[in-house]
Amino acid sequence: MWRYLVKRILLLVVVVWGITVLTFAMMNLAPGDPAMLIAEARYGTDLTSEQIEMVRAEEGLDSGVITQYGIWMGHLLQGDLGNSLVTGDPVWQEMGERLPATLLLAGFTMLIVLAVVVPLGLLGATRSGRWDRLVDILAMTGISIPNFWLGLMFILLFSVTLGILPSFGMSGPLSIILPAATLAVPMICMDLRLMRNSMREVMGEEYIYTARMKGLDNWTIVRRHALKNSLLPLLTFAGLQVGFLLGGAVIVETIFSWPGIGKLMVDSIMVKDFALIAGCVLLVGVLYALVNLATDLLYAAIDPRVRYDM
Amino acid sequence: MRNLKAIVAVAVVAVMVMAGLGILALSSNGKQSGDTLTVAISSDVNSWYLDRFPDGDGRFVWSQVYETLVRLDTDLEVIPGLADSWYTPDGGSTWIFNLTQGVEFHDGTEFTSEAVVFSYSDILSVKKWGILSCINDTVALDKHTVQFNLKWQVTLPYYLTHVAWPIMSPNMATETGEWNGQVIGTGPFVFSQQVTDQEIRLVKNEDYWGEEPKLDDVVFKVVTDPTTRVFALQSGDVDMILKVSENDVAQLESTEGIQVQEALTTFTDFLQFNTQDDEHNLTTSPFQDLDVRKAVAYAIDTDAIVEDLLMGHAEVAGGRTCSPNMMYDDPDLDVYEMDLAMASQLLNGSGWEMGDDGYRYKEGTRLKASILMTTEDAWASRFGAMTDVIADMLQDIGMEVTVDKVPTSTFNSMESAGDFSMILRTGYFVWGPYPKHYFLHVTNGVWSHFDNPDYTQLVTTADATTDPVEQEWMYHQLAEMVIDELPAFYIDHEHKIVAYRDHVKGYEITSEDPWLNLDGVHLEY
Repeated sequence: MWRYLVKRILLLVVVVWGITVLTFAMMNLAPGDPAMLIAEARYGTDLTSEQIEMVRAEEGLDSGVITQYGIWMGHLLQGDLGNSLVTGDPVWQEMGERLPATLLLAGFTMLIVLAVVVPLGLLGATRSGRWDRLVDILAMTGISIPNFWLGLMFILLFSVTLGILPSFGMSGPLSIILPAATLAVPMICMDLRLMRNSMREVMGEEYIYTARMKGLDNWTIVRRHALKNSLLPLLTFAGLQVGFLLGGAVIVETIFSWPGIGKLMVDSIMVKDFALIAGCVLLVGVLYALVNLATDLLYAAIDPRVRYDM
Repeated sequence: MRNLKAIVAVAVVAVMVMAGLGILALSSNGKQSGDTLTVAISSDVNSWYLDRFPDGDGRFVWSQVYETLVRLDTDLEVIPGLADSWYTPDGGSTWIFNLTQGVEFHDGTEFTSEAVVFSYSDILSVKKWGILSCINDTVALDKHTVQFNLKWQVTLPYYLTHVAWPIMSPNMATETGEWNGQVIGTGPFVFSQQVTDQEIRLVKNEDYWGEEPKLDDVVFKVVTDPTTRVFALQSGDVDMILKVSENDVAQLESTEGIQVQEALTTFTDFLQFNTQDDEHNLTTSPFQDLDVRKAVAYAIDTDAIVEDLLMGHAEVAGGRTCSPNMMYDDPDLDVYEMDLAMASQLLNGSGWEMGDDGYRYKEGTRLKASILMTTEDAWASRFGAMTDVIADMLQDIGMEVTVDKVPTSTFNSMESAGDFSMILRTGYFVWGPYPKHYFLHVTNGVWSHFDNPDYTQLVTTADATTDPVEQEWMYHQLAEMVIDELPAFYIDHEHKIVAYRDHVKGYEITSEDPWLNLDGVHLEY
């Protein structure tokens, strides 16, 4: 177990290094002169070419890509992600301000998803026919609805028409409901189908027949034998979804003015703020890898057949 | 062991949620009460100090906290601000401002010449370049009199109305001139709190020197998405939204409890041509040929753009550079009207013959052009529709037009590389009634793609002329020159649209952008 953990953490380091290389490569392939963008952000649109060159020299943008990468990696190894090229604030500080909002939104969304999917999945284990079709319809509908549309419809219904929930911002416990629900709906629809299929598969296993023959009632079979086994695929998928929530909830964060890391990342990409982009990508990459590791470890907790002895 | 892991997993989620709820509780401010006006803006204030202009809607916030020496009234007439009078003893090379007395900064210190010298001093970038680079130095003649010595003559009072370079307290700077983190202006509202990308909270300046503000607080909420801003107003989460899209006006006007005001601004949307064949030119622009530029001007139906696309919430420019409310606008200027026959004639004359496939060709090359626009500024939704419509209109004269809707970073690099043939933009060098925007098209300007020494000379001379009659004549000449030479085709004069809830009383929209006029605004439920 411990050896496995150490091995995974070493792998994580390689993954993170890969993320940094890819980020830098992609940033340099993308069009746009960062010196000009920074100069414009700092001094406004009426620029002179001297100002642009001054910014280029100040920010070290006149050196080669590999040199720039080397300098950044050197600082990173000392725990320094540098300062945002645009605001001048430390990257850690900028990300630190945003991360809690993202973690909160991701955590709350996952709670909603699991709170809906697991009971409905259990319910579905003992039903078929109409229930199956309902799950299929729900899944197709949920996956097909674009996030931005759903978010706006939620605002229209719950804020404008009913007036019971805030339409935007992070300004009180109620304000998380709409963005989390917007993120949760497609995830619920996807997970519900997964859970249904998994449950159905498990319920067809021989040990379930054995349990039935022992005379156990349906609920006891589901609770004691089927649930844990059917949760494994859901767990894998949920792990991936947390990764999506940490970095990809950009549209929902924008619509609801939710001050998360996804929005920060997009904003920094738009102005080519190298330091901030690299910091955000690194953070999201590390979180994603950690969530995957946690998922794998949870496997062992749920399924005693899984052993990490390698 | 297994139970332990499950407990740990649940605990992690629980801690995450608890931590978040804690943050929510901290940032929670509950329902606004009393005379607190809540205004939705599209972007946060990214700078509070003179070394860097605030982007986008941040300037609406500045206009409550900071003030300028010279102000504009709702009709764009120059009126006293932090200076109560001014004059030039030598035809515009020197300007002397007599400061308004009895004004205090938000920290209780007196507003004197020292603050003016500080705000336009060498350590701050604002003076070093750009529009204010005409200022050589600023000298305090006494406690309430300041002299600006200029490198060349300009009508300085107009320059000093811009909210982007207001008067700030010297107490905002460290010894080396860096910002010390304090926000100290003289305006009707005092900075109280900023939650990044969420809100900026201002409180009433109890010792304001002008008319006492009727509001207790103003809260600016950052709401990036334009549709969410409209919904936030409709749901009552905010009291006022600025820069409303033309498409949302009808819906808002028909909503009970919402008022809409609009006013002609000084911004004019224009289609700028790449008239130069520089070494960076990646795609050959057909617009080095004046007749092709004129063909575009004749092919664009500006009436349809204003009436159908912008639903009447703009005015037709037809090539006119100045909005009718700007100084030296020439009401008798001959502007372009759509004339497809004329456009065809001009293209034929330039050797672009119509082919069988509906496109024009010259020596086997198809007539192609591109329109570049950024998807990231406040006008992106309007420009998105306008570029599509213009591309369609130009198709009718046999021009194949592609539209490049790109992020600002890509936009800037494409522009600087010359990789475009037209750009749709607005508002460059525009802040008040003075027509500084002719400066955009001078030879070698950073954003200029036009090289005409006569034009450049006339812009420089007009800017340095302080006699209004002479200056008016020169600006009329320039307006005609833009029509004749077409560095850009000016399409429509923008309307500024503000919507607010019924309980907001006393609001009067101004033509000036970006300025939010809260004089006399109060709430009545």
